[in-house]
Amino acid sequence: MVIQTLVLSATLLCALEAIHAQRLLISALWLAGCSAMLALAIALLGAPEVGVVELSVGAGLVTIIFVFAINVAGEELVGVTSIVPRPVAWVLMGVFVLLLLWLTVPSLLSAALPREALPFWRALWDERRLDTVLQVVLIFSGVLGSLGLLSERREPGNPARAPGSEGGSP
Amino acid sequence: MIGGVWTLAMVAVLGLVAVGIYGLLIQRNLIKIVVALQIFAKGTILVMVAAGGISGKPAIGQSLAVTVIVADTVVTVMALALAIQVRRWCGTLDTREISRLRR
Repeated sequence: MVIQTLVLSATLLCALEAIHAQRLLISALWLAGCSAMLALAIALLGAPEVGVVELSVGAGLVTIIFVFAINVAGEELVGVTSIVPRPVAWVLMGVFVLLLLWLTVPSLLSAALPREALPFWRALWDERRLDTVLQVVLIFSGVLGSLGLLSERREPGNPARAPGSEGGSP
Repeated sequence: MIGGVWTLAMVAVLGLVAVGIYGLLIQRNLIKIVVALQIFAKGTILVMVAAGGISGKPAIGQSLAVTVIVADTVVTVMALALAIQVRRWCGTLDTREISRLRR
């Protein structure tokens, strides 16, 4: 219980720092830390398979993509004045949290149902087979979509292209 | 009443979702908005695992958490690719400047 509390507190701290950091690269690194801590918390909550996926995808792949995007787009310090005034943002956040509490507290107070002895791999590959296939299609469409978005139009008289813009349809 | 670990997990979910919502509301940099969206999605992943544990069907909750991770990653990749294109064409990542350019 103490370890879970520490790990979940570290997750929240990393999330706060990711929002507060001024530089984009620092923000991405705090987000990676948040992912790693969340993966550890999920593993401690009894779901090591999900923890491993979160660690490899959330803390690994997504961080690499963030660093790539920040390198390509460049660091840009945007002003601190937000479009939504801060008091309004606080109020909206409070309303959202209250709504979430209203939805979740009844389930927390009710007694837990008996545990179902269904293994994770059976739930993923047998019970939700269609969803798993759709996830593969989603990943494939995401790859194609990002390649299409990142590709550059090739000029007929200018064969020189910037490095890193290979692949995808013109 | 459920166990203390799940209550703790739900408190962390509330914290992550609150931080994500706050970030989405106050950030102006497109990449920082994606970071806030990621934090919001992390709350969703944790709530899936916790809901599975609370309802006594951990396998279903865990498989849904994996689905959320995959969908969230694809959304992040697409959003960052769009942010790069916005930077390339508009020269800025500031949402206020981009909306000014539109007019």
